[in-house]
Amino acid sequence: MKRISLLPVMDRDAVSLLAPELREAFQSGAAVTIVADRVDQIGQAGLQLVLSATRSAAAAGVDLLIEAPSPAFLAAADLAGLRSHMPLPPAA
Amino acid sequence: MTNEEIQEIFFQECDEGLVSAEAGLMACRAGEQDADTINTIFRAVHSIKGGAGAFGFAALQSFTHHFETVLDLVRGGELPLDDGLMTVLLRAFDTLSDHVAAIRGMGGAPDDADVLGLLKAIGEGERPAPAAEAPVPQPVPEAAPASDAAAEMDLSFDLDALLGSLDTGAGEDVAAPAPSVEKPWRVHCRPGRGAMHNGGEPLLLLRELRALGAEILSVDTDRVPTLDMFDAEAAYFGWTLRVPAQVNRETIEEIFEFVADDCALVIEKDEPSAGGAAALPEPAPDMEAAAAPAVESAPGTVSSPVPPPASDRTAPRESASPAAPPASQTIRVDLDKLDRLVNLVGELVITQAMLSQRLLNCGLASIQELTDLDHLTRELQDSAMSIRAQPVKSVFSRVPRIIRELEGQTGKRVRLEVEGEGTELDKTVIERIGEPLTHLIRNSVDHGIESPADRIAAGKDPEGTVRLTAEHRGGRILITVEDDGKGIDRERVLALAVERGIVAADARLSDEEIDNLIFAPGFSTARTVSNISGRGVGMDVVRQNVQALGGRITISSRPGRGSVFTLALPLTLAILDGMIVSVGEQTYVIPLTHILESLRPEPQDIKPLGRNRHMLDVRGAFLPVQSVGDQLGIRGAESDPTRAVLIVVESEAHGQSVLMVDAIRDQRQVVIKSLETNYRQVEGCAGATILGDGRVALILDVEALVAPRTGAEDEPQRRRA
Repeated sequence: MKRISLLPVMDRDAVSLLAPELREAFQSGAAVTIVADRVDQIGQAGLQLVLSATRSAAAAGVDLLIEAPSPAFLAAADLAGLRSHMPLPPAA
Repeated sequence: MTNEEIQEIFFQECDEGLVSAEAGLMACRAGEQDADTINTIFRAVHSIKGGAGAFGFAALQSFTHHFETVLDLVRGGELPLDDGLMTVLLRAFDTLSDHVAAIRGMGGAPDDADVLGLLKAIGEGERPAPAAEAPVPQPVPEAAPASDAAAEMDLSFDLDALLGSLDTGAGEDVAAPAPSVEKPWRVHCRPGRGAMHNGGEPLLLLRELRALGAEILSVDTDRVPTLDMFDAEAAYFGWTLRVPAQVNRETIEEIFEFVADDCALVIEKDEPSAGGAAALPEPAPDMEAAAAPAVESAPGTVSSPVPPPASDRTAPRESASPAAPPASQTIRVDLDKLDRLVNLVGELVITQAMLSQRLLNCGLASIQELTDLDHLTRELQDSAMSIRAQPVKSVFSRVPRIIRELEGQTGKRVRLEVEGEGTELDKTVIERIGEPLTHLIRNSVDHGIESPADRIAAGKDPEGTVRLTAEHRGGRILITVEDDGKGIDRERVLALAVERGIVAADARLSDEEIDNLIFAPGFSTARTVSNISGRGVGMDVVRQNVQALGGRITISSRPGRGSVFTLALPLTLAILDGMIVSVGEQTYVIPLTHILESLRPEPQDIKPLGRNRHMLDVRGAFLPVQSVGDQLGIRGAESDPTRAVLIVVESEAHGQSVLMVDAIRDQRQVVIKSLETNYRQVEGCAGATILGDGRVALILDVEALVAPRTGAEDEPQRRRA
C-alpha cells in the first residue's frame, strides 16, 4: 500500500508537488491511502487533486482511501459540495 | 506574483478608490450631485468592497456593503442627498478610510458602530437627521477595536490564512435583503483557468454565496481528469446554487465582479424548468484553454451544457455597474525598478559630463554629436524624473477630512478651497510633505480662523476660508496654506518669545522676524494645550521636515486679514542645481537654492569680529562670515576674506550668512549620491556627486555650516546698521 500525506497547506504549489507522486503511486497498481490529517488549508486546487486521484483509482481499479481527513479538509469539501464525490465519511 | 504583491495592488486600488470617492463627495457637497459624480462614489466603494471580500477582510467588506447600499439608494433616486445624508456619507467615508488604513496595518480597526448603525438604518428606510442634528464627527481614534471578529482578523494577507478561513460563512452580516424579488435565484458558475491565478481562490466565491444563504444544488466534476491529464493550474469544477429570493441580483453579481474575466456566470430565476448542472455556462475560450482538452479526453464524461437564455447570461466582463470605466492606460511599476532606472539615468548624466570634459580637453567641445547627446541626456533625465512624479492631489486629498474633524472639534466653520491639485512632484517629496501640511492646516484652523461669532463681530463671513494651492515656479514647487483668519498677534508672539527666553527683552525685531518666531523650538501661542496644534512643537517640526527635504518655509501675515504659509520644495531629491566651488585642493557643491549672491569684497566691507571671525557688510547688513575651509579642516584654504570669494547664503533656521571659498568653478546640475549609503555621514556635507572630470565632490550642507556660530538665540541681535 502506498501512503501519501497531503501537506498542511494545499495550495497550487503543493498540488504541483504531490500530483506526480500520486501519479506514480497509482502506476504501481497497489492500493493508495491519502493521509489528510495535517491539512489546515485547502482550496479548489487541492480538492481537484484529490478528486482526480479518486477518478484515477476508479479507472485503474485500485483502492483509494482518504485517511483521517482533518476538519479543515472536511469543511472545504462541504463548502464545495464535494463530500459525496470523494471516499469520505458522510457528513454528520 | 506573490500574495503580498497581489495584496499591495488591492491596497493601491483602495487608495485610488478613496481619492475618487472623496473627490466625488466633495463635489456633491458643493452641489454637483449629478449621476456621474454619484456613480463615481458608488463604484469606488463598490470596488473596495469587492476586493475586501476576495481578500477576506470581513469588517471592511461588511462596512462597505452598508455604505454601498445607501449610495445605491441615492444613485437610484430613492434617497435625496440632503445635508443630513451628506454628513452621514462623509462620516462613512472617513470611517472607510480608517478601515482601509487598518487592513494596511496603519492603525487599529475603527470603531464603526455608530456610522454603521446610521447606514443600516438609512438602508432600511429611515431618513437621516438634518445636518444640524447630525452627530458631531469625532476625532479618529488611534486604535479603537471595532468588533471581536474584526479584531481577531489577521490583517496581513496570506493565502494560507485565506484558505484557512474557508467555512460556510454562516452568520456573516453582508447580506442585504431586497424585498422585491419573489422567486429564488439559480446561479451557475464555472471558474476559468485564470480564477486560480495570482492567488485567486474560487471557493471564496462559494463562501460568499453561502453567506447570502445559498445552497449548492449540484457540482459538476465531470471535467476533472485522471492524474495523467491533471493540470494543477486548471479549474475543473462548476457549481449550480440556489440563492434566496430576497437577495438582489446585483449583490450576487458583485461577488463575481473581481473574477468577471475568469468565471462564466449565469444568474436566472429558479423556474421549475431551469436545469441543474446541464445549465452550467461555458467559460470564454481563453479561460479554459488548458481545461478543455482534459474534458475531451476524460473518460466517461457526459457534459452537454444547455445555453442559458441570452437575456440572463452574464458574460465575463459584464459586472454590476453598467457604467464601467474604460480600460486604464496605466501600468503599475515596482518602485525599486523605477529607482533603478532613475539611478541609471543619473549615472548616464555623470558619464555624459565626463565625456564632455574629455572632449573639451581634446578641443572637441563644439561637435554636434556632443550637443545632441547633451540634449538627449537631459530629455531622458527629465522623462525618468517625471515617471516618479505624482500629483500633489494624493496629499491634498487628506485635507478635507482634517478640516471636517477640526470643525467638529472647534465649532468653527471652514470652507476649503483647493487649487493646483494636479501639480506634480517627486514621489518621495509627496510622501514626506503630508505631516508638515497637516500641521499647517491644523494651525490655520486652530490659531488662524476665528469662531463664527468672532468673525461676525469683525464683519467677516462666519465661515472662514482655508485656501490650499500648489504650483510650479522657478524649478521648485510652491505650496501655500492661506487662511482669512485673524493673522498673527505679533505683540503676543513677541511677549511670549521674551518670556520663554527665545529673544532678548530689548530685542528690536521686524514684523517678519516676529512672525518667524513661531517656528522656534518650543514656541506656542496656544492658551491651552489642545490635541489640535497647541503642543508647541508643531511648527518647529514643520520647518525641520521641510528643510530635510531641501525646501524652505516662509510666512506672511496681516493682522485681521489672515496668514499665508509658503512651502518651497524641490521637484526631485535626485538632482540639484549647484555652484561648483574650490576650497584649497578640494571641490565642493553649494546648492543654488541657498545662494543669494556671490562677491569679492572690498577691504572696507570686511569688519573683524574677535581674533578669527569676520563680518561682511552687505549694503548695510552685517552678516557673519563662515570659512568653509576652517569648518571642514581643509589645508591650504584661503583665510583672507578680501582674497576669497564670499557667497551670501540663506538658511531657514539661521537666516543670512556668508560662506567663504577660494573660487567659483562652475554652475551645473549634479546628481545627488547619498553619503550614508555609499560611505558614511560627513559633518557639514549633505551628499556627494561625481563631476565631469570624474572627481567626487561633496555637496555642502549649508544649514549645518552656518549653524555653529549663528544660533537661533542670537539671530535677533543681527541688526541692520
